[in-house]
Amino acid sequence: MLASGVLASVACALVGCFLVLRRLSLMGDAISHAVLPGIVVAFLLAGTLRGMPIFLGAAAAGVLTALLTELIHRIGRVETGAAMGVVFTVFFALGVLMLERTSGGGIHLDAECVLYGAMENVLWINAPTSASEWFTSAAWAYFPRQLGTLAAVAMLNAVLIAIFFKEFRIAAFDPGLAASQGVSPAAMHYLLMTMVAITTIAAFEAVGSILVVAMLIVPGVIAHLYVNRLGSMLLLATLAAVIASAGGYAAAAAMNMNAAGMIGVMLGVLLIVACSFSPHGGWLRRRVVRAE
Amino acid sequence: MTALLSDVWHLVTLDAPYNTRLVLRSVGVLGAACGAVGVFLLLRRRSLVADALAHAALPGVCVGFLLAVVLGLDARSLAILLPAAAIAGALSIASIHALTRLPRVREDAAIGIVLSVFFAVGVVLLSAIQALPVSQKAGLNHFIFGHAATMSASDGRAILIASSIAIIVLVACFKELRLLCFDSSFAGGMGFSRIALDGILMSLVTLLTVVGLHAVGALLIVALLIIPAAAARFWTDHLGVMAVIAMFIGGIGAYVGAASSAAEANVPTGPAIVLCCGALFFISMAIAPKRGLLAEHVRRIMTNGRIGRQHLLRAMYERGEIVGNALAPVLVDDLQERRSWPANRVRRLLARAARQGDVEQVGSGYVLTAHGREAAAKLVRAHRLLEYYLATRADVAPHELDRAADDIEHALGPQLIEDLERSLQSQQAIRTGAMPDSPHELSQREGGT
Repeated sequence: MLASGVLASVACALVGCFLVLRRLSLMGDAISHAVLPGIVVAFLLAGTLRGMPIFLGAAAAGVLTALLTELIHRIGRVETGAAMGVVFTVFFALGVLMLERTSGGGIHLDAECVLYGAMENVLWINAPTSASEWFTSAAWAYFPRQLGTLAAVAMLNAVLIAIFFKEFRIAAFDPGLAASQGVSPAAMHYLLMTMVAITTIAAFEAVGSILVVAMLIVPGVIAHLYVNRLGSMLLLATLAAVIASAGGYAAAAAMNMNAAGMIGVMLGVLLIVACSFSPHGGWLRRRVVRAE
Repeated sequence: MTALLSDVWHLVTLDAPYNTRLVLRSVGVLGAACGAVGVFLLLRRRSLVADALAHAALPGVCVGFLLAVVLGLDARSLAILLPAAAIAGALSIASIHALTRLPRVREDAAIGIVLSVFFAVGVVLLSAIQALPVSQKAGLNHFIFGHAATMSASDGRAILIASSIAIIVLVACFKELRLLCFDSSFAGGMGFSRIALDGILMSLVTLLTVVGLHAVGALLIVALLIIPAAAARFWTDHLGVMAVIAMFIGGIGAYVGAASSAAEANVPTGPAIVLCCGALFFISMAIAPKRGLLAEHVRRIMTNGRIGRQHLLRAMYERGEIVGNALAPVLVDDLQERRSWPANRVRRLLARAARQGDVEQVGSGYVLTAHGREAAAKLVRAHRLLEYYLATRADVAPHELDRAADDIEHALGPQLIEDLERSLQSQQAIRTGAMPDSPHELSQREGGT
């Protein structure tokens, strides 16, 4: 449903801005794959796919991915991209293997759902239709769990960024300066990685692991093409995320197609527009300047 | 466990049903070819472009399918789907280039964008296809997940042909690609078109990705292009050797992984292969003699030992100069004072020097042996030459000379010492062959660690 798409894309856009600025965009891709074994282990230990255990498992797997990548890059002297590639493919393979081996245990994690997402499955039966119904308990009885999770995670991201705004900003733009001012860039890095993992896992069910990457990166890149200040970048990215997810959802509903995919396509369209008219070397802008 | 191992062994020795043999042979060949191509991708710092390519093929496959349906052809035929996927792959690489032309879009963001947005287009098309009233659409998502167990003979043939083409092109363009990887601007200056060379490399990646996707899935292709190459980097510094090693690691990893998947139920082929390659990567990282962690650790210990010995010998020699008697025994305390070393470290260094015949114990102290004196004299001489050089040519203040020379003297070769001597001939203190006096006072305490 529409709200889950909007919430997921806003939650992603907020953390995504920092990934884009720190040149860690592909970490989003890596973590969105690598959380799988974390989920499976958490499921095996806790026996449920709901609530905290899954988030703890995902956060642990996300931080482990970032740590291992850093380790292989630093002590093995392997280029960061390749190190990331090694870690996330191995993690994902491990996750799929565990999933297959335990499928007798009745785990309901469908590999296709993980990749493509199934936003249409998030339904609010008996949703309130009029203003007065919002205050009745019957309307909330079937409130979809995923929606609550997404709202909580979007909220968490917004609050964490608001609290640590200065620290995030200085660590994103100048890690050296951050260290000299007593802000540990490493601590901010792993906090960000944890947030990415948690956001990924919350958005997962609705939009799938690959489209999460679009939601993470594209709004941040669009915003970065137009503004120079971090605050305005976060706002603009959120706006782009809302427009794309609402537009994408509406288009998908009209044409009866996959909603998550359509949101991704819409983000791509917005990006093409942004790239054409960006004041910083936009494709069309450049041509106009040359003609003058 | 032994039963499983013997099952795997039977499969490895090709004592298996026809279809299993086909799968094993095909993924082995694919792994080898991906390993070799991946080496160039790694050195060009484009490893994750493979990830983008593998995902960008999905919309291509969907468009190919739709086109075939519209034209009334066999919609599952590889002859239509593979070229369509290849065109989508080429488009994705062109998009990455177009995006990175914007100064605010970095390459990592461009790769992530192309990967996810192309995939989104594919997902939308796939959902549209699922709604179409046509048959034959069932196997389409095998293009993303792969389905090695049901690989057909035509898939096997496609892999064999594509892999052979990749290896032949790599061998034919080896020199040019090497230049591209190590010094792309020089390659441009030599008159090679960088765009054409990058184009060749990317075409090979696209070719392998597209044929491999259908057979083994996106994840596996990405892993095979990245992991064996990264593992081979630990073993050698030579491009050709590295490519051959990556071929072996990719081939063996894929073969053994597929064999264990065939031997054991509930072990999917793709993940088994990725995990085998991953194991080979971590083994390489640990034990490879060239850049492996163990080898680096041993080298560091040996270097530290060499530097420690040099410091010890020089400290003992200069102690002899201070007291005016080269044969007076030197106590542990004296050395500790001179170099501010912990007592344990001094004793350890002395014990090792005694074993190597550089010093011998006399009473409670130590003296240099004839052999040790000769080595020490050389070291002290080199140290002082360097100090004179730094004082006259680099304007290093006298009280900083000792520390400054300390930092670099261990890297001086005999040729450099001769050069130093020659360039300092005009100095009064330097006479060829003799021991120059120290340019600063030999205080009780000096130097660092």
